[in-house]
Amino acid sequence: MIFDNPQIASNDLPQIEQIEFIKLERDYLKVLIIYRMIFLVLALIGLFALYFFPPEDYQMSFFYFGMGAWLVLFVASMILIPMAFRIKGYAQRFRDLVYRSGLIVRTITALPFNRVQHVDVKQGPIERMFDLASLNIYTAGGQSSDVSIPGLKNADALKLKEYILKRTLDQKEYDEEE
Amino acid sequence: MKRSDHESLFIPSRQSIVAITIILLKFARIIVRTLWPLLLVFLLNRGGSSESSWWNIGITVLTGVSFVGSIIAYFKFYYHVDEDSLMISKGVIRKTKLDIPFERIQTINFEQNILHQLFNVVGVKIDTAGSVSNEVAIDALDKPTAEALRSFILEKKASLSPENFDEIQSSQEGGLVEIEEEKNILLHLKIKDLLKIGVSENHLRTAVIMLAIVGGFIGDIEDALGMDVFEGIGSWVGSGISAILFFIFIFIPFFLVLSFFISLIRTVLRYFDLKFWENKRGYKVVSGLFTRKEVSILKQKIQILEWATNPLRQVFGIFTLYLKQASSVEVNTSKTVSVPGCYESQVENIKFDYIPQSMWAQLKSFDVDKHYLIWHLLYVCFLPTIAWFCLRYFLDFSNYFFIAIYFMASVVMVILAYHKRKFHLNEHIIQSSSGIFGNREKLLQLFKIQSVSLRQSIYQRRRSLASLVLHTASGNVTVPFIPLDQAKNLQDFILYKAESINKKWM
Repeated sequence: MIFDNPQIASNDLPQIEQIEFIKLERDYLKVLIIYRMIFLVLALIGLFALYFFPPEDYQMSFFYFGMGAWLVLFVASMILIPMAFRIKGYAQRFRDLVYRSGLIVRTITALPFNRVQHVDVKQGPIERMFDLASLNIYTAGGQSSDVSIPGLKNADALKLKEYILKRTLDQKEYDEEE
Repeated sequence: MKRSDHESLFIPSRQSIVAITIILLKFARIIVRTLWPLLLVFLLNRGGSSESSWWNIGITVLTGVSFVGSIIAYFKFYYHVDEDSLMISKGVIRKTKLDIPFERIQTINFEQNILHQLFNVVGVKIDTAGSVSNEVAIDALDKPTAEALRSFILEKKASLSPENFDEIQSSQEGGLVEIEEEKNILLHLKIKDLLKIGVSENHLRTAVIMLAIVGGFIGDIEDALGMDVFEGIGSWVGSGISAILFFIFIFIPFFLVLSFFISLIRTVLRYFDLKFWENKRGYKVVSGLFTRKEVSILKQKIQILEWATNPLRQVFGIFTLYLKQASSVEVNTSKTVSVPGCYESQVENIKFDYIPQSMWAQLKSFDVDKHYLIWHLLYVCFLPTIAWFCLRYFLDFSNYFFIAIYFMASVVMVILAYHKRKFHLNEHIIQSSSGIFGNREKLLQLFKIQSVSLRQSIYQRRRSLASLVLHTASGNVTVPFIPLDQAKNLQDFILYKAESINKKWM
């Protein structure tokens, strides 16, 4: 056993393992796919531009190679984006927020409220069409320790932001009283 | 202290008159640094062509402008305090007024370069928890004023934040607030120590950096003088075998020796007469030959205590100590203070001073899983070697000799790194050990984390392993490749520590 703790048996601690993660909004999958489609369509336009207006000493094999790469990317995107989407999820607890993501490297980040520096809500253009927003939570630990939860209903994001801010304040007051 | 003691601080005043010289020098340094190729050409062409008169005019104008500029800058610079903030107004063309509330001020450090020392003045650097420009500097104040200013601000700051109540009381009784009181010297570097530090610097790295700089330098000279330096060297050295011999027997030793002397000079300049003090609240480091630098660190601001050594330093038994502190809440710039030349016993002292002996009970050591080794052998040694081999075989790219060297070196380094990778844990602290040829130890109090991530790659998921990343306000500490259930327990426990301990993390 890696640690046995004399005061608190580790089984008595609140366990992240038992949390039910809340999935992101279904519409957010559409947003992700639309963003990827925009990229793929632009790439395709580029490829065809090469095909119809080939520059000098240009070999057709480049075009076929590009098309092959495009197809692979297309198929992979259509399979992997939904898979990665299903993994993303968050949970709010009384004293911290937990976020899970990552298809290849699965990451579960837990962020205590008494470490929150500030919180903001952002909306991209496509997200706005679906009334979605992402919630960013910043700590003093820099980018690697910050958490960004995408694909929330705008109203939910604002509510969650209020909750986090309130809990952060409570927590800090509580810390100071003791 | 009553307000009357500090009456003069409330009146807007200028810096010490010496500041003019110091500002001028600052200007000169910036100009020389940006324009040195031009200046070089100017010096080399002096008295030559007719263009040189233009150069003369240019240089004269530049000197004149910076001279007048620094005088005006001096007369436009005012500072004073009021009840809760430090006010600074400055600016020659664009006027700026700064209002720095005491509570945002993090540290006040003094700096003395050779000019400062000559006139017995100090440069004052004020770090704030602010937005982008988080540093305010006063170029020169006479020492008593600077000290009065510092003690006034620190005292006010302490009385503004309620959690420091005890400290104010004790400081009011003692009449002093600064870290100055009851200093306990932990380290004092002598010339002998400086030699050891200079000798054991990483010369290979310095040599490479120097080569890069010299490369850029030659480029600049070529641009400025319009001649081809590399070709000159090439024709002088010749080609083929003699070039390789030249490289091995002259070039490399030359740069290593040069690097050795440069490190020695740098070490003496930076760490001359280094003194490292400790007291109840923090540490203080003073060092430098021409520029005396003084840095204070509050113990509670330290996020990670780190000490490292390299093979040469292991022979001498010395370590470099790093005090990694979070400089402010809002800005993610972390500040590291490094103290070279600590013997093991001194490191121990500082370790047990920073974290009291009682918190070291039942510290247990753990190795990382053997899959840490296997994974790195696969992805750092074998796969790149195979890819490289394919490139060589099918595309005739590169050569077998380098592939073999890469393979052997990477295998040796990965195995060494695996054996050094350990961590030590109890309910208060975690210490992580790593290194390849040297050693690096990171010490962290569990409750100081900002967030904790549990990470599992596909490789780790198949084997029920995980890595835990502890994010702090001055970098991460990773516990790689431990069994999944233990990683989960550890994550829960660290969270519990961060959420239940109401000590301030900074």
